[in-house]
Amino acid sequence: MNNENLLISKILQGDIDAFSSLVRLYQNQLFSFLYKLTHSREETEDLLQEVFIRVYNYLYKYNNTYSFSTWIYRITYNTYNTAYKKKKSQPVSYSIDDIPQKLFSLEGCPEKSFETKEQYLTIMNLIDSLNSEQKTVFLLRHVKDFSFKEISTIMDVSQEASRMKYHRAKKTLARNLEMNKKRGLHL
Amino acid sequence: MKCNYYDKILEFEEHSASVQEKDEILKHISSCENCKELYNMLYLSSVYSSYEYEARSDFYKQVIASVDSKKYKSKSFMLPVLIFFEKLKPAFKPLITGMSVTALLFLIIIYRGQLYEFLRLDAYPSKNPYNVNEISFLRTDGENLVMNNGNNILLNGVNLTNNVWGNWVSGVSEKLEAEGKSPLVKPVVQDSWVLADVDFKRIEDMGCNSVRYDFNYQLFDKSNPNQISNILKLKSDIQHFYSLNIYTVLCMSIVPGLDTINDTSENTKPPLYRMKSVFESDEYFNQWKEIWEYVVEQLKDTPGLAGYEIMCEPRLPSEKDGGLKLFQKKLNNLCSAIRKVDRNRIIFVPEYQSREANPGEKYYHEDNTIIDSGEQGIIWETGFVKVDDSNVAYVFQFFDPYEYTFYGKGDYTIEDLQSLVEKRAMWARTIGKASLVARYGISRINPSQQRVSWLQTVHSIFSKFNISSSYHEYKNLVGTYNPSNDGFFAIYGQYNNWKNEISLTGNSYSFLDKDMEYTAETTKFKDVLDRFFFKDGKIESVSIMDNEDILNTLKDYWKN
Repeated sequence: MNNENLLISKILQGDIDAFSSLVRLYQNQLFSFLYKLTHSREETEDLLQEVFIRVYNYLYKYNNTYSFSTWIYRITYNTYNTAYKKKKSQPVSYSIDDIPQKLFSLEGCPEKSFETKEQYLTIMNLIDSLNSEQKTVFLLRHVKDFSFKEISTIMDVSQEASRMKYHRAKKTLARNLEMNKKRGLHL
Repeated sequence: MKCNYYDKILEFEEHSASVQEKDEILKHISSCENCKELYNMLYLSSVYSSYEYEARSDFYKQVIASVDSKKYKSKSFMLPVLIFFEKLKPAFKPLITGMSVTALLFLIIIYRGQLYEFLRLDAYPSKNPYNVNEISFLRTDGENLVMNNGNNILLNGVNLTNNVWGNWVSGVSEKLEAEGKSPLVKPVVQDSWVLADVDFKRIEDMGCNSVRYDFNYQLFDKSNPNQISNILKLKSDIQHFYSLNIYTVLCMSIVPGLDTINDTSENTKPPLYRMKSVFESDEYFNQWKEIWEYVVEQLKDTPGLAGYEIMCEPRLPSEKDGGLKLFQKKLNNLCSAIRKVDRNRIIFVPEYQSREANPGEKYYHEDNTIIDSGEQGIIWETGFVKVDDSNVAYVFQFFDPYEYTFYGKGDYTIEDLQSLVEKRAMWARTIGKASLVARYGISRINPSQQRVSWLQTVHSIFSKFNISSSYHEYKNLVGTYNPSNDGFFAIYGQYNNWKNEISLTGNSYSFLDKDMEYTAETTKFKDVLDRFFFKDGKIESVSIMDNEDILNTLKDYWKN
């Protein structure tokens, strides 16, 4: 039994501390996923609290023959989707203050010289320009290396549809990058 | 121009690419600025997407405070059961779906009749919001006609003859007459005057619940180029009546071969030269059958259609030509052909109205009694034959006594009339079927009071035997050559041809020639014209004439 399933088993036996551990295990990654969709810490916290309450209340329905992370991301996506449909808020552009400092210490980029704040600001706004489904697929694909099969389960679409949405997301990013270049905005 | 590597970079996935692929890409972007920018954008996008923000360190406390910490403790006994059922859910889904589909199919099979009728009626909602469900699908149930709800219904209404017998066409009719044929030319398109919007309104105001709609076979013969537009017009008329809560009984009153109109020219000819009937000629029978098959196929789903009266006033062939057996066989064949197309509508089977005499039999011709010596004289005798179909009703004509209703001669007693109706009603009852009066009426040659009296008498008889009836007829042409006295049964007269007969001058009119004026005076049409159609220097093309009392008598009957 892996760590998650052990925690789930304990929660279902009434161990609230186990649930506290489960929240801590997932809170940052789910917070990141939701924050990239909402741009707002406040909204993200509200949504995330609702996600965990649902997880707790419906945990007995979780079937451990499936991945728990897929199950919890599915709840997260549905919670966001419901709120997003109600709200239909206007997109807000990121500002330079929204860029996390820790990003600059990351290594692995072939051309270090491009790692500037402005570059990340452009990237964040490019991702934000994707439509909701493309953005979700793109984030899920990178946030936890979800397979297209897992993404299809989370979003309740076919595997082929999730693959297609991801490919279209990349094409949209490339097209918007070209448009930026035409306006003189280079990476 | 787009670089060849552009699409490769778009499809490139860092974690799943081979070392070789990655090297190839990196080598390329070192020399291609555009691809380098694309690569970097995608790379940085993935870095940003996977970057993990940190929630408040005490966020989990807020969550724990929001949940019911005893939820799972208090359900410790029930929880294994809940979990067990949750695990079974994937198996339940197809099981429940299968059971639901089976139950639905079962209900559809049980209630298919009602469902079919509901869908059909819903497609053509009634215009009258208070009587939405008055019109329903009809069928026979033993001696009765019944509606969907199981209630019995009597179809009481008027006969629309629709000028099926045709028109005198100058230049053609004279020639036909000279050849010893019927001079009237049957229309290949229904005359527009027979059923206009104003007619629907008048019929609605009469308060009857049905019309017997006559048509001639030529309208729907495959050789008629207007076949499709004719059937659409007929369908539209049925739907129009339906919207007024009026049923339509379709009657092919003019069939291929011998019919009630050309019979006047044919019945004096020797058998070899006489036009054959649908019972005597396979060619005419097949044409009759094909036209019915076409009409039924096109109209079977039309709401408000009560059923099909297969022909009007058939004549039994002589025994030499097959007699009663052949007549019955052909009726059965036709009913069977109709039933193959429409399983549901009522088929109205007519009584034979006359028969061909057999050698040695007496028949009457022009007030003389003649012994038939093979010429197949006409014997005016009626009778039903049973057909094998279960959803049929039997119809008969009622113009009795003939001399009285047509020519105002002689008299009648209620007992005589009652025995004639009783004979038919009892025959149908003995085989457990309904009988209906397809046509009944009395001509204008009788004074109004006599006509009213005759109508009230026959209505009381129809009521006594609980049989439906259709008054003959709603409307007919009047004119110098259409005498509106003897043989004129219509409630309304229509003077269509006035421009070819008279000219208007100030407040008066004059006939176009002396012959016409003489004929109009002889046939008493001039009197009709002066009283009912010429008003204030103008011609009113449609008039109820002096038939108000007739209409009121009918209305009283239909109301009850």
